[in-house]
Amino acid sequence: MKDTVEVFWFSEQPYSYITDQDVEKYDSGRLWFPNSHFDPEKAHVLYNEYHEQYAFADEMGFDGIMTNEHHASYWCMKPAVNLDAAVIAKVTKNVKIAILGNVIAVNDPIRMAEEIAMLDCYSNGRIISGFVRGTAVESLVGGIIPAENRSRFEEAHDLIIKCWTEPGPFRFEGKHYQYRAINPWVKPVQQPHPPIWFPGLSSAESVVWAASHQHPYMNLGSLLDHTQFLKSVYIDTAKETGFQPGPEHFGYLLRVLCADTDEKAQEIGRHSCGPKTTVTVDRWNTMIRQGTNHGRPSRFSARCRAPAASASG
Amino acid sequence: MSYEELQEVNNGIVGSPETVTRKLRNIIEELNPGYMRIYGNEGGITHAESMRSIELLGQEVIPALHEIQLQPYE
Repeated sequence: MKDTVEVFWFSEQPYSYITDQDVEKYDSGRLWFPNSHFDPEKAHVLYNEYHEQYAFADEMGFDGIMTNEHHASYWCMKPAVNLDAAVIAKVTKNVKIAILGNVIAVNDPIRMAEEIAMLDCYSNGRIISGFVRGTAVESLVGGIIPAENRSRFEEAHDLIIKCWTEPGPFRFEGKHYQYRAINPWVKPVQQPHPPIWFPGLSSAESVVWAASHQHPYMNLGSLLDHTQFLKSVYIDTAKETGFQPGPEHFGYLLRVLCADTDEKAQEIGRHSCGPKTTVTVDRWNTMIRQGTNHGRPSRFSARCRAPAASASG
Repeated sequence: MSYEELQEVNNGIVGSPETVTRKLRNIIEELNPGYMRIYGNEGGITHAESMRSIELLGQEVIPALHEIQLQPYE
């Protein structure tokens, strides 16, 4: 059993020049927020600062760095997570690299398998390969029918693992993907394949899927009582599946800001979440609402009404 | 929830290394997660502030968190 927590650094890499005033004129800050607000020269500076932070986190003793992907989002300048993972692989020496993750339902699964294998070779086996279903925006931007996201995700998941574990060439005839010859030259360092993580904001359905595949589940910052509930769903499903879960199967994400004194930290934090900055308390609250209002399988609904107690601070 | 209320429910941890360590220790001891991901860079934080946060987390907070003995899941 894993008996020590590993601490990962994470940044959305926001384009931090957008204000609430810029966004409030539009119905959405994503699909309908015009990209004319984007200045590549400013992005160049920001990207390099974020990369410098990666190198420094490695130097300062973080156990890992997590990265992600979103599209049409001013608060996340990473539409290609594997490019960011390649940067992490090259500017760091020790950290694990958690890709959370590739939106495999909207991408070519063979290319996904190849890119992740390349990254595992670049980093000499430091890759953790997260697969995500993505938000609704990712499905729309990816040009797929959103209702097919889950079945495409599951088929792509199985095919990527097959690419890593079965000798090529082979043929694949699926519902969504068909290939006459699959023969990826590059294979991952880690055998049989890199660890697969599955993140979620708060859908218990996602937790059940992760546990039934024995993949660790990484919660993305739900409130503590709901996170405890999701952990109990994972434990129950794991036992039904036939394995004993432990800390190695569960992760948590939290916003953390540290400064030399409490007063200084509060001053920075209040400013960073203020009404004129990229990421505001409103977005913070939106994530919490999404986390706690998500649909839950009926078999778990009773426990939802009686969440466990929260940790005290 | 307000900025202060979000901190009260531990959905955001803001403070000195001592405060951050204490709050994260409480959460880790309750949840027993094998992996704690720190969402450390919001839009309004400057590069220098992020670098200092990384430095303090790495030098003072993470070593203390590594001392916590995780418990098995029942």
